[in-house]
Amino acid sequence: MRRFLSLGLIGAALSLGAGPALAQGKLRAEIMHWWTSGGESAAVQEFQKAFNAAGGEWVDAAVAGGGGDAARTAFMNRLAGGNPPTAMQFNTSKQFDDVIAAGQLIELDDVAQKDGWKGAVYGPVMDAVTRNGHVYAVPVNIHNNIWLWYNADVLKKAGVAPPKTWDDLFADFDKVKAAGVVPLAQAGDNWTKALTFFNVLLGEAGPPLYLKLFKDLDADATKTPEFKHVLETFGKLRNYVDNGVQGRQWNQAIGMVITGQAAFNFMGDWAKGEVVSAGQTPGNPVGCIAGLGHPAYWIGGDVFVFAKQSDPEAIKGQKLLAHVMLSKETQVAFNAKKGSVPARLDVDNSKLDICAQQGLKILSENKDVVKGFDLYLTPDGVGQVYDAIGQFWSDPNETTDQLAGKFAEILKNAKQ
Amino acid sequence: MASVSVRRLAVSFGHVKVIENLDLEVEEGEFIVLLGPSGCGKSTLLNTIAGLIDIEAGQVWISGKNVTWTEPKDRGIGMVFQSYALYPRMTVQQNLSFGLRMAGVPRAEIEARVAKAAKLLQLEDLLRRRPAELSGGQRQRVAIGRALVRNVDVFLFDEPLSNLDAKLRNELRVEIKKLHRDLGNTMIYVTHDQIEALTLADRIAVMRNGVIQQLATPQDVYHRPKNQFVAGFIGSPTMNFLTGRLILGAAGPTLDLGSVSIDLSAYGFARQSSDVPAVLGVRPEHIDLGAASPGHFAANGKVEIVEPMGADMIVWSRIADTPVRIRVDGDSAFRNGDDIAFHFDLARASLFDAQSGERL
Amino acid sequence: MQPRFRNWHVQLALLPAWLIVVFAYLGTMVFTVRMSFTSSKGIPIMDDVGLRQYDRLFHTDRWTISVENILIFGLLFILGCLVLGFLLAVFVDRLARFENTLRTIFLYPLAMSFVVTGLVWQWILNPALGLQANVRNWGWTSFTFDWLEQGDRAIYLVAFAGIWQSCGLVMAIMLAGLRGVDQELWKAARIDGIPTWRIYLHIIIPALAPMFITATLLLATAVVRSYDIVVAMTAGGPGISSEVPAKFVIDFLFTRQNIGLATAAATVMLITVLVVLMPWLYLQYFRSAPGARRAA
Repeated sequence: MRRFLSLGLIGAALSLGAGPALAQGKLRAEIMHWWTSGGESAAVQEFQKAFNAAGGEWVDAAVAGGGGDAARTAFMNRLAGGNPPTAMQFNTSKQFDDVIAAGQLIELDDVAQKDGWKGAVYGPVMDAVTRNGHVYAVPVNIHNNIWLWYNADVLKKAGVAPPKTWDDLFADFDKVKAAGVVPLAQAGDNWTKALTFFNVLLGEAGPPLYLKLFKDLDADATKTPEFKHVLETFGKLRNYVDNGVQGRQWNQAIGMVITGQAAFNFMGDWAKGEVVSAGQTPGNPVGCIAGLGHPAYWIGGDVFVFAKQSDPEAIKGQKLLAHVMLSKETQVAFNAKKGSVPARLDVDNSKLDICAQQGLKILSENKDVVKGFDLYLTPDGVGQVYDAIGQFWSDPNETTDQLAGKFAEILKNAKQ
Repeated sequence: MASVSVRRLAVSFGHVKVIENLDLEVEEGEFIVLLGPSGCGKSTLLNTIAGLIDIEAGQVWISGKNVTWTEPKDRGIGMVFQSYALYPRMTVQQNLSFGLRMAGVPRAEIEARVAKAAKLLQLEDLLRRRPAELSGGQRQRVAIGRALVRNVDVFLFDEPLSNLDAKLRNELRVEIKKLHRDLGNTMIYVTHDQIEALTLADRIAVMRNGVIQQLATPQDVYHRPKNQFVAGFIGSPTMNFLTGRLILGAAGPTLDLGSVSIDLSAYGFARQSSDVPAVLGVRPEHIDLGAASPGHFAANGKVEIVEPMGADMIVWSRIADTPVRIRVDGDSAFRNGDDIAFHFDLARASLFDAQSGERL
Repeated sequence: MQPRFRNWHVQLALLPAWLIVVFAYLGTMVFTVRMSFTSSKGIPIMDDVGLRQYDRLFHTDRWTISVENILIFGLLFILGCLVLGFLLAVFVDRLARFENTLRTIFLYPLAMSFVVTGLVWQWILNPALGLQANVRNWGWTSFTFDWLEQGDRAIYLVAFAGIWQSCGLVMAIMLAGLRGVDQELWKAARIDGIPTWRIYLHIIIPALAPMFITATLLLATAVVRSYDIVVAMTAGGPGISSEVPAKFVIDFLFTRQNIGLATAAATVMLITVLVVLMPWLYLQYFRSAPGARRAA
């Protein structure tokens, strides 16, 4: 048996009363998240409005940076220090498994029961927030991480059509480059390079290879010619970026496509939030392709978890927040701004934009839908994937065989 | 031929004129001491000769060459400093040889010169030590050695003994004197210590406010000070000064002190004068006790204070209300209030114009 | 009364200090080393997996790269700061009239944190935004300076930014040292006809040895701690090519949720520093021991 050193609980006992409290009859809740870009903060406003209207008091604790790294670090620190925020954002992943195992989160079974989450929430997402039959998190959205964004005006000017296959894409790249526009906008963080990699893996090779690798943790799959081809295609992409990659954030990369400085960008559908906040409608001129080659849906998304509190009023606030976040109206309003699809399917989706419709179609067919690789790997394993891809991207001397070998090693370690 | 010659020199620091229109001729092999209180310009003059300070006007000649704009290293000088200024991380050997190595002197020559200097200054056992491992006296000997190995005509010393205690100072003073005797180089030596000046110098240049007050042999400076400043600066204890009025009467010149009048017939006047306020300077050691010899000025007084100084004793008394110091034998027994008679020879006294301070 | 009990109130007053030393310093150190032998992930647990974390550590590319980088960075940073700091000090010392102005200018970067330094230089050196883009705009379209984009070059730029930030500190230390140099030493050297650069090389620099040691120690601690400048300037990139050990520890401690591996890395850092410091500490003790030969 593993013996847990519950530092957090000791800390919590020491700081009794430091948690959220009832302020002027309102249920005060401090929400920690990493939604700080233009589109994201517009979306988070919707939660705030709904929660405040329902009798709560939203205290915002946004932590920017590193695709949530900084916020998660801050949360872990506050948890260990015995002063956790009321609610904390995580990706729909294994990120919060350790916190559950340490017994630091409240169960949301009663709220889920009362609001009928089981029938309404998209099945794989519901599975992702359930551990041992208990619900530990509120899913708030479904993201597809696998999107290729393009600027139709730029393509038209270069005399090319949106690509259907990867060969089309590289042909487009060459023409766009000749027209003096950056073909591919790429951000500097390793997770964005990994996202580009998964676009190639799922789009070019299709979901079966992806599942063999990350669900089955089959190291032999890294030796297949298909995987080698994926790595080669990924490597080729490096020839089509400008040399301002290092230090560029993901929202700056999609911004290049929005303003026409670049033609293409691989990014999850949260990029759509930037398109909307730039005053454009998705589809014109920034178009979207969910999985170039094989239309695919990589389910990602965000959930909120609730750290255990000593104050019963605080727990009431947490349950109210959980209820509000997954209510139908909030879901529609939030996801329209966020660029994602509502976590529950029993809402009116007719008003969603064409990109979201494209995603919903794949979701409803339920054929090429896969879970994110961070649901199969620990944060440590995820980090190893980021390191391997980042290193390959920046080292022109590294061969695809070497990279495949690293993947084999990571999968072997994950299997233990 | 003059060894060092300074002509119409002027030096300023910013707007402050430190030296103005100064001339100095130093003979070959002469030991000149520049003496004066601090701030009198003596170190500035020395640094100017060394070429370490830029001059405003005038010329410096060394060994018959105009070196006014020559680099210090090419002036044919060696210099010793108050703080020794040894190269801190180098051994004695390296300190002595470093400058020669930089100048490209052949190795064998360097070794010969260093060995010679080390022998002369008894540094042979210290060659491997670093300055931090030497005593003050040893350090200064190394500094002298560093000047010595340069084989130059002129040595400059900038208060070399001021950082040493009294005993070491006396020892090293004698060594420097021997060195001068043995080498016969021209030496210019700056100090504020009159004992060093009197013991070492062939000629002393007493300086004040950037001006040489008197340039003369130690005997002349002591016995025939050119003005009241020199008279007061040289000699310990200080010369007694009696202020009065010079009266050239029919009976000969006298100094009228009010209640007392001193007959100046025996005094050798340096120049013609008229009735002016004047100061008579008498050295304490020139006043004798007891009955007056003929031609001496005699007075009676009471002992006011007694200062025993070992070999000597200073007895304070009065002439016409002016306190006077009398230097007597250390074995004498005096008590305060004792009546004493004393007298002095006017031929050994000095008379100054009270206004200009010039010798009369 | 026993003399050792006479000062009990002094001992009592020192008790908090002792408690801090024992618990806050030694305690956490021991705890860290202990954790490196566990399989702790996101939350510390107390099992024992032997040297497994160390085995993985030394087979992790990222750690190897981090160690290589800290050596490159450390060497360049310390040498660069010492050389440049000393030259600046000489420059300021010789231009005494402008000393106040110059000293302020050179000390200014020091007022900035490493984070700000890193960010500013990241902007300047970013090929798409900074120097390269501007030079190209002025008409030199083939001008290329994209080291920040090159995996094998980025760490040199980090070292450069570090030097830019810290050489002012070295300058201040060296300037104080130069001011302490006896002016007569300069005169003596001029009389000896020693060229100025040789005076600095053979006389002044040896005389400033204590200043150099102090500066080196200060810079060395900055090297071991180097984290913020890397995060701000390259975030360890491109890829993982400019990672450093301290960043490795922090990343695995929190984001990667592998406390076992993070503490193993921290322990390796601790041991390395101790190994490097030991001879020096020994020397210090040895040199200050009674009986050191030094004439008055």
